Amino acid sequence: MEQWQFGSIIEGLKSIAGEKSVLSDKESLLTYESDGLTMDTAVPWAVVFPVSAEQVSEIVKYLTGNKIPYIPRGAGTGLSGGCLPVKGGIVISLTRMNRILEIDIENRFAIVEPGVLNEEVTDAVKDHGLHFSPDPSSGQASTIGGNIAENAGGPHTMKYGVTVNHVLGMEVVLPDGDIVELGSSTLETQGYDLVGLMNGSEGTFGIVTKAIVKLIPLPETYLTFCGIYNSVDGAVNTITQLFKAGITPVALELIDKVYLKGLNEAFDMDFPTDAEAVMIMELDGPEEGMDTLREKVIDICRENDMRDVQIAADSDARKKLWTTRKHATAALGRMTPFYYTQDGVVPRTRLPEMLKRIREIARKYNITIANAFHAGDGNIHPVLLYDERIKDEKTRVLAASGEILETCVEMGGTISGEHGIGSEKKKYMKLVFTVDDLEQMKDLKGVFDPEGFLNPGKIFPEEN
Amino acid sequence: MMNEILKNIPPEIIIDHEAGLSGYIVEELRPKIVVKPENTEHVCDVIKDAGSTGNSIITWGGGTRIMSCNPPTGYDIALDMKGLNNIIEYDPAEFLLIAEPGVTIDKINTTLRAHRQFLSLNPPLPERATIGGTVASNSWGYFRESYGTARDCILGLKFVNPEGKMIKSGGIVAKNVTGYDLTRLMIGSFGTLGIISEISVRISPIPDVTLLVTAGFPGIEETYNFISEIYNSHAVPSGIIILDRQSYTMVCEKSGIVPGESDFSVICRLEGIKETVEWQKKIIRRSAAANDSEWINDIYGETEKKLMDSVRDNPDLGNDSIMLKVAVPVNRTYEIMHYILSGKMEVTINIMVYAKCGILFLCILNSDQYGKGEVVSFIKSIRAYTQNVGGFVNIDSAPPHVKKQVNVWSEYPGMNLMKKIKQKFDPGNIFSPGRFL
Ligand SMILES: Cc1cc2nc3c(=O)[nH]c(=O)nc-3n(C[C@H](O)[C@H](O)[C@H](O)COP(=O)(O)OP(=O)(O)OC[C@H]3O[C@@H](n4cnc5c(N)ncnc54)[C@H](O)[C@@H]3O)c2cc1C
Repeated sequence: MEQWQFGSIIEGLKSIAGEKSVLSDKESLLTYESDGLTMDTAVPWAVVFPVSAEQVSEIVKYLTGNKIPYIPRGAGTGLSGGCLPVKGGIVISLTRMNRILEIDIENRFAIVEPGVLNEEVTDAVKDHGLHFSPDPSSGQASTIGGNIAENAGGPHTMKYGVTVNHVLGMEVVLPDGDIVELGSSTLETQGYDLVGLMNGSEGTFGIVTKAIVKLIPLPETYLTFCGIYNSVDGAVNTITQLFKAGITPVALELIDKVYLKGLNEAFDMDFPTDAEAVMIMELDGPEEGMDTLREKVIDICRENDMRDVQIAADSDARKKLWTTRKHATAALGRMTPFYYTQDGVVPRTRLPEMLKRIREIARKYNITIANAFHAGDGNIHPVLLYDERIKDEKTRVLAASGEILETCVEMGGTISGEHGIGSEKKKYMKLVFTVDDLEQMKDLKGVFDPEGFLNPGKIFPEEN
Repeated sequence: MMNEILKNIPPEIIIDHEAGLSGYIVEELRPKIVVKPENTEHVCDVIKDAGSTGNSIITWGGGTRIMSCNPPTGYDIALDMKGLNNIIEYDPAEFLLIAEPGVTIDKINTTLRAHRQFLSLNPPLPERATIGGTVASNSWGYFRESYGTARDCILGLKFVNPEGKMIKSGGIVAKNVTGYDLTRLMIGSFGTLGIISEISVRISPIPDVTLLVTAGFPGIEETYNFISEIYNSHAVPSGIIILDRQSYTMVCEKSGIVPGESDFSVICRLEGIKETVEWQKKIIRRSAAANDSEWINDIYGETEKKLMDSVRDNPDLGNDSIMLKVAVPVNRTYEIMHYILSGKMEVTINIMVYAKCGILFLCILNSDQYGKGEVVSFIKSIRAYTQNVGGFVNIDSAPPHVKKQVNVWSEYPGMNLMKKIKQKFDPGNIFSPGRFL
C-alpha cells in the first residue's frame, strides 16, 4: 500500500475507534509480530482496539470496503500463528473489551466480553461454588475469545470437556458487519450448531464480541497425586485400567523424564530423576467414598509398574503441583534458549508406541524432545528444544516436528488436539483430509466470509 | 420413471410398489420410490443420481423421530439406511466404536455389554432407533443429564454431500481441532445437509452402582425446594426428573410399578461407587423429608431399568398426541411449570422436566378432543411465554393439521446463517426440503 493510502486508512480507523485506539508506529507493532509460536512472525500494518461490537462492526465494514485483510487477536498466546497477519493487514485487538457483563448464579451462566481472561471468569464466581471449567495452562493470560476461537483444552477438560462444551451462546460480528446472536442461555439448541461451529474456527468466521459461558459446580473435594513410573507403558496402561474400572479422573497428565530435573530445580519439586515418567492424577467428587477410590486407583497404578506415589497433602500442595504442570515448559528455559511446542493426538492406547517413535525421531534429528501432556486424551505436546545459533538446528526441529505429525496421523490420530492449525500447520492438513473434505470446509468459510478478508491464509493449505 | 433416474442402482434394492411405499409416509406424503442401500457406494450413487436430477430425499433410520420436523415440501425418494448395519470397529480399551448409521442403539449396547460398557446416547425406542437417526436428529434420553448429547460423544463421522461425494470430518480421537467442526454441524441437522454414512463414538464404562431415589410432593414449591436443596449439597445426582401426577402414573403403569400418590414426583438417579451412592441417597432422602415429601422410595436393579426405560420412551402417545419440548435457562423450568399450572389452560398438559438441563416435555394427549384453535393457541402462548424467559419451544410431534398452522421450529438466533449454510451445502435443496429450513 502507498504511504498516502496507509495514512488515510489509519485516520479512518481512528475516526471509528478514537485517536488513542490505533497503534501504527513500527516499534509498538513489533509486539504484535508473533503469538506464542515465536518462530513465525508477521508484523501488522496497524492494530486497532475497539471497545464495542458496534465499533468492531464499523471497523470490519470499513476495512472490507477498502479491501484490507483484518485479523482478530486476543492475548496472543496462541501456539499456531492464528492471529498473525500472514497476508498483511490490520490486527483487531479485543483486549479492551474485557468486562464481565452478567453473572447468573441461579442459571449457571455468565456473559462476558471476548477480552476477559480465562481465569477471571472462575475468579468471579468461585465464591458461589461455581467455575468455568476449561483450564488451558495459559488461563492467566489467554482470553475467552481466543479460547473459543481455538476451542482450547486443558488438563481438566478430559472429564468436563473442552471450551466448546462450555459455551452456550455468543454475539458475533460477521464479515459483512452484521452483529448476530447465536445460541442462547439454555443448554439446548435448535438446528445447526452454529455456536459449536464458531468454536475452533480460529477467528476465520467472525469476531466474537460476547460469549455466554456455562458455569458448573466445583466438586466438594479433589484428590491429587503423582504416580512415579518405571515405564511410560505402565502409566498408559494405568489409564486404560482406570477407565475400565469405571473411574474417570478429572485429569491425567504425563510428564516424561526429560523434564524432571528442570521441574525439581524450577519449582522445588522432588521427582526422582531416574523415573521414566510421572503421571499427575486427580479425582474429584464428594468427600464420601474418596478413600475407597484412592485405594482402588493406587492398586491399579501399582499393578501397572508404578513404583511410588506422592499424594498432595493439602490444597497448597495441590496448587503447587498444578503450577508445576502448567508452567512446565518454562522450566525448559534452563536447558535451551528456544523451544517449539507441538500438539498432536493419537488413540490413547498407542501412546507408548508414539513416545517411542518420538524418541527415535529425536535421535534421528539429533535434538532433544521433552513431553508433558494430556495423556488421558491421547493429546501429546512434544516440546522440541533448539538453539537458533546452531547451524540448521531449527530446520531439523521443523523436520522432526513434521515427522511427529505424520506419525500421529498414521496411528489414527490427528495433527491438532487444542492449539489449532493457524498458519503453522496448514501444510499438513492434507495428511488428514482429502481435497473434497477441504472443499466442503471452504464452502463453510465462504458462507461466513465470502470476500475472504477475515484472517486470510489460515487453516487451508496454500494452493500451488 | 424413477427407475430410469436411478440408473446406477441395482433394482433389487429399490421398492416402488404401493404396499412397500406405504410404510414410508411422512406427514401424509408418500415417496415415489424407496431405496434400501446395502453399502456406502449405493448411498453415494443414489444421491449422485438424485442430486443431478433434482429429486428430493428423506433419509430413514428407525423412523422414531421422522415426525420431529416440519412437513416436507418435496419427497421423491425414501432412503432407508437400515441395511447399513455393521459395527465397523469396536475397541474396548480405546472406548471407541465405529458404526454404520443403520445399526440400532440396542445392537450397539448388546455388543458393548460384554465389556461392561455402554452408549451414553439413549434415545427413545432403542430397539428401533438407529445411531444414524439419533445423531442426525440429535436425539437423547435421560443419560443426557450426566453424559451430554451426541455433540459431546461423537468423535467424527462421514457423510455424503449432494454430489454423491463422501466427506470425512473429525476422527476417532477424543480431542480434535483439526479443521472446522463439520461433525457438530451434521449432528442435529436432520438430514438436511448431507447423509451420514459412518459414525465414530466414544463409549462409556457401566458404573458400579445405579440407584434411583424417588419421592412425591404435594406441590411445585415443595418439589423445587427439594431440588434446590440437592443443588446446595455436595450430592451430584446423574439426573433429576420431575413428573406430574399423570405422567408419573403412566410411566409407572408401563413399567409395572405401583405409583406413589402425589401431584409431583421426582426421580433422582445416582451412579458411581457404592459408598458415594449410599451417601448421596441419605442426603436426598433427608432433603425430601425436610420438604414434606409424601413418600420416598429406593429403586434399583430390574425395576430401576424398567422405570427409566419407560421414562425414556415416553408412554405410548398415539397419533393425535402432541409433544412439545421447552428449553429454558437451567433453573427457570419452575416458571414454565407455574405458568401452566396457574393459568387457565383450555387443554390438559402432562409435564415431565429434565431439571438438570432445563428442559420440559409437555404432552397433550388425544389432542383431537380439543378444538383446533385451542391447541394452536396453547402452543403459541407457551412459545411467547418461553421466549420471555430466554428459551424456545420445538414441536417434537404433532398431527399434520397442527403442523400446518404452527411452525415446528421457533424463532431462534442465527436462522439466517443456517439458511445460507443450507443453500451452500445443498444448493438443489434435495435433502429433506422444507423440514428444517
Ligand atoms: C504457556 C502456554 C500454555 C498454553 N496452554 C494451553 C493449553 O493448556 N490448552 C490449550 O488449548 N492451549 C494452550 N495454549 C495456547 C493458547 O493459550 C490458547 O490457544 C488460547 O486459547 C489463545 O487465546 P488468546 O487470547 O491468546 O488468543 P490469540 O492467540 O490472540 O488468538 C488465537 C486465535 O483466536 C482468534 N481470536 C482471538 N480473539 C478472537 C475473537 N474475539 N473472535 C474471533 N477470533 C478471535 C485469533 O484470530 C487467533 O486465530 C497455551 C499457550 C501458552 C503460551
